[in-house]
Amino acid sequence: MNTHEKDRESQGIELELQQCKRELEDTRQKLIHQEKMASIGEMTAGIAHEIKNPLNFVNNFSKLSIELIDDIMEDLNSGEALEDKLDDIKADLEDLKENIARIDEHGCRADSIVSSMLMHSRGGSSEKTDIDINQLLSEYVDLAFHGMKAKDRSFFSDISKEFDDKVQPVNVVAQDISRVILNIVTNGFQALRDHYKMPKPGDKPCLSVKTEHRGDGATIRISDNGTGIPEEVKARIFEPFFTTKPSGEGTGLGLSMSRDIIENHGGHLDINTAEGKGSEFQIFIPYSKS
Amino acid sequence: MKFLVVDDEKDVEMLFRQKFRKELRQGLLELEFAFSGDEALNILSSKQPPDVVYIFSDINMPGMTGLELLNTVKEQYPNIEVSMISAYGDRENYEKAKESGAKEFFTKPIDFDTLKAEIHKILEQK
Ligand SMILES: Nc1ncnc2c1ncn2[C@@H]1O[C@H](COP(=O)(O)OP(=O)(O)OP(=O)(O)O)[C@@H](O)[C@H]1O
Ligand SMILES: [Mg+2]
Ligand SMILES: [Mg+2]
Repeated sequence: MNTHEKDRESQGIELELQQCKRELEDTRQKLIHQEKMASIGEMTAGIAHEIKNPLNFVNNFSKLSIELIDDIMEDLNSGEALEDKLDDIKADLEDLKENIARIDEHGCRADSIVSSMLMHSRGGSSEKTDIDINQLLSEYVDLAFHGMKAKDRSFFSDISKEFDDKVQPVNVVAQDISRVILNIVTNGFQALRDHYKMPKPGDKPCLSVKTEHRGDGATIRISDNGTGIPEEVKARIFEPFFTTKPSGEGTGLGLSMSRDIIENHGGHLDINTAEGKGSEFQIFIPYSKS
Repeated sequence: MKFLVVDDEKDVEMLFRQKFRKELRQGLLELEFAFSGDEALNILSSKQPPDVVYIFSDINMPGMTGLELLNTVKEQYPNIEVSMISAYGDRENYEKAKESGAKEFFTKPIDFDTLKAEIHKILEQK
């Protein structure tokens, strides 16, 4: 082969390589998009089902209450001496009161599930808007919690929220920031679930979220006292497609996507973790300079 | 005739007791409640043979799921009928339950008219 031919060949290879890279990037983008759709779709579907549990009580305790009132009316109109019926009527009224308390309780429960889903329907826009980060964080922690519960009934965790009311609105794409929070909080819940499979005496699962006003921006801290991350894993967690979870549960895009999003907003995403103790993720988002 | 209701939601007991208060008062049926699959199996094994003739079980519960309970009951007590009651009425759950021998599949919110019809059918058969 003369030098001319060699050049042409390496040019060919170069072109092929570029083509390959483009295809790879394309696939990556598609996968990232699918992953977003899948996790949010899956979660809302699960939660929508969870609403049926409180609804079951709301519907049926209401129907029962009507039946009870009918019974009371019947007793009152029976023409028999009221004194003989009084005990029955009192008992029915007690039940009635109890039922209405149940309706109220389960109604509130349904309400809290629905409000945790609302952010999704509000989202959809990729425009930057001024967002109250405390509220967003609070709603998404609840949503992630219901999402975990919907998948695994036995899941339990304490949730601690500490919001700094000096935190100012941040100008962000709400949808993107919500995804970051959803992923990091869900990672935390999964770490808690895995760590507390075996009960740990004197210790209970807790996920805490905290915000802090930082002068030029807001810091969000999301921490769990779950499995923590060993050194060799920690080195790789921001790699796209790196996951330690069984296939089906994790695609390993969560943290790489989160870091991209935060950096695109001019902020940064950092982590502190100790194996066996837990992890803390810190998100810093700068206030827009205006 | 004893029916066992298995659900992790405690208020289910109050709901069933009131819904069937007339039948209970007349002694037509007895209701027992378990809040987990394990508790249900304990109740069954406490009497030889068990006096429970019919089980209504939720699917999504902490620990043992209703489908696991269904399998165990069908293995150990093939004479006991089991029906599922679930908020998750999707094909997958439905088919799994039917394959494992569930008699009926009710979805939440429970329609007590159909549930009552089922119970009365059982009461008349025996
Ligand atoms: N809070 C945490 N505690 C312990 N390990 C964590 C935590 N957060 C992340 N990790 C580790 O980092 C890995 C990568 O996380 P990432 O969110 O990118 O992907 P994933 O959660 O595995 O999958 P996906 O987010 O796509 O569902 C996880 O598989 C897990 O090993
Ligand atoms: Mg993740
Ligand atoms: Mg349940």
